[in-house]
Amino acid sequence: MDWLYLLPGIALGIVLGANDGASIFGPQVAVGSIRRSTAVLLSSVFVVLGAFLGGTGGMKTLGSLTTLNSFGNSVAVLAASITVVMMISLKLPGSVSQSVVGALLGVALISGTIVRWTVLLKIASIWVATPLLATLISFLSYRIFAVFFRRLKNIRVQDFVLRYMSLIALCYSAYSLGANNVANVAGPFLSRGLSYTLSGLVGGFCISIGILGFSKRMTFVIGKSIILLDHFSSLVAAVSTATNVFIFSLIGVPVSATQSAIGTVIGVGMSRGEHLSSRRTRARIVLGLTLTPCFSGTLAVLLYILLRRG
Amino acid sequence: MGWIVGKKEQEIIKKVLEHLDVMSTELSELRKLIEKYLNHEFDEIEALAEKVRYYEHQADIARREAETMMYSGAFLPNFRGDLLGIIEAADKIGNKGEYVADILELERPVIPDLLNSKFLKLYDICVEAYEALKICIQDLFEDLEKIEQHVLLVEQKEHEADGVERCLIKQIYRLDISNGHKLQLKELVRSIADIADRTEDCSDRVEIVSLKRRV
Repeated sequence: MDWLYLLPGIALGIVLGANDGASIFGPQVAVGSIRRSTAVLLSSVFVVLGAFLGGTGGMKTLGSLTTLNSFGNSVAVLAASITVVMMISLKLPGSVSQSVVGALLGVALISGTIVRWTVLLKIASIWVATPLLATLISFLSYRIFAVFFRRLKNIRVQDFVLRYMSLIALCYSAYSLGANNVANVAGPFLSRGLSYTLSGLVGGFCISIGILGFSKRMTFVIGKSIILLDHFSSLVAAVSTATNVFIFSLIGVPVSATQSAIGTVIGVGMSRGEHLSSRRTRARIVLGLTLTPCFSGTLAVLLYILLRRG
Repeated sequence: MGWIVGKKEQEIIKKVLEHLDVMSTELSELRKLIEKYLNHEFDEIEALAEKVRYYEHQADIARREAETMMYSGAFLPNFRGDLLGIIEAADKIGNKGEYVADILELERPVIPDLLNSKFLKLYDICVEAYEALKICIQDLFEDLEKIEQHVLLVEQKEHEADGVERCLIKQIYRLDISNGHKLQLKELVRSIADIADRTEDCSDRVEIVSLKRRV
């Protein structure tokens, strides 16, 4: 029955693919820069590569947050999966990373396991920094890319560049997502004794399945609910989101791709002299930061009590 | 390998420019028709009107081909809509040319000789506006930065056409002819001037596209 402990990891991987896959290519699919089928295929490949080659840092950080056993890890990941599924059902872009950390913390507290508060502080401060850094990166990227884009004299060349750069940005985004977010799903695999590389690979495949099979719904929710961008802005937003997520995968902290995407859209807007940050957007980020981990933490506690008795 | 170098896009650009060239030919045939009409050489009117209609039809075919090709996946989606709008707006210029030819061929309005030079002047300004628009649209595919100066030229020509149009209408209403005749001539003047108005509408669309591309 030991293999049952792996199921929440697989489920969360699929859910992450459905939710965050949409975050990385939603805006570009919505403006028509890339076909959804192309986006799905390319990102499902590159997300595995990212998870396999660059996921170790995040896995080490999440692994060091608590000293949960295999059962505790699986319950936490199960609670995180349910939280994100509920958010998808309500068409709310939720954060998998925040759900997982909230759930790990909930299970750790109820089971009396050690919580390394310094690691939690590091993670929480990076969550706060995520949308801010995303805004800064996209603000600067827009200015820099615009200098080169202005040198493209006609529409045919502009379209050509936008089309192919969008494909490259998509691959980069998927790679970054895999590298950064695989840690969220890898807990149960690591606690069953799999190596970091192998856990990354299995986790990457699960995310890939989520992208391939279940990302359609959220693609259009995210792509059209954020703001309708022009092709150039959506390209800059995609590259900036990828860079932001990639930086945090190097630091080794899983972050929310959705909140990064919102931050980059705001940054692009600022660079164009438009105010795209409404009170509602800010509230959404704050709610994501606070409500998601609280909800998944509470759910994890309830599940832990329920399943331990069973 | 065509998709790498944008073969579809090149074909559409070729078709769009072909559409504009056919309309240029239509307008030059209409110029001949107006000239013959004003010189009272009515024998060739029907043949020339037929030529105008023929080129208008050819322009329609080129437009439809460009539109069909566009939705086979060339260019990025939001430019497809913009370009479609530009082609449709340009096509309306050709439609107006055909309408003017119809008025002359079917209604045969009597144009007093003293208005001849003004009529020709008005028409020539409209054609000059159209030729500036053609360059404007070419600029979309060659050099976006030059669009503004050609849009300004179109606006200038349209403004000039407005002046001649007003002057002609004023002259018509001072002539000792029936009110019905005056209205008929006014309709002809307005229809010719509409060529410049529609040209300006189209150049406005081109300008908006170029502004949308500004980053």
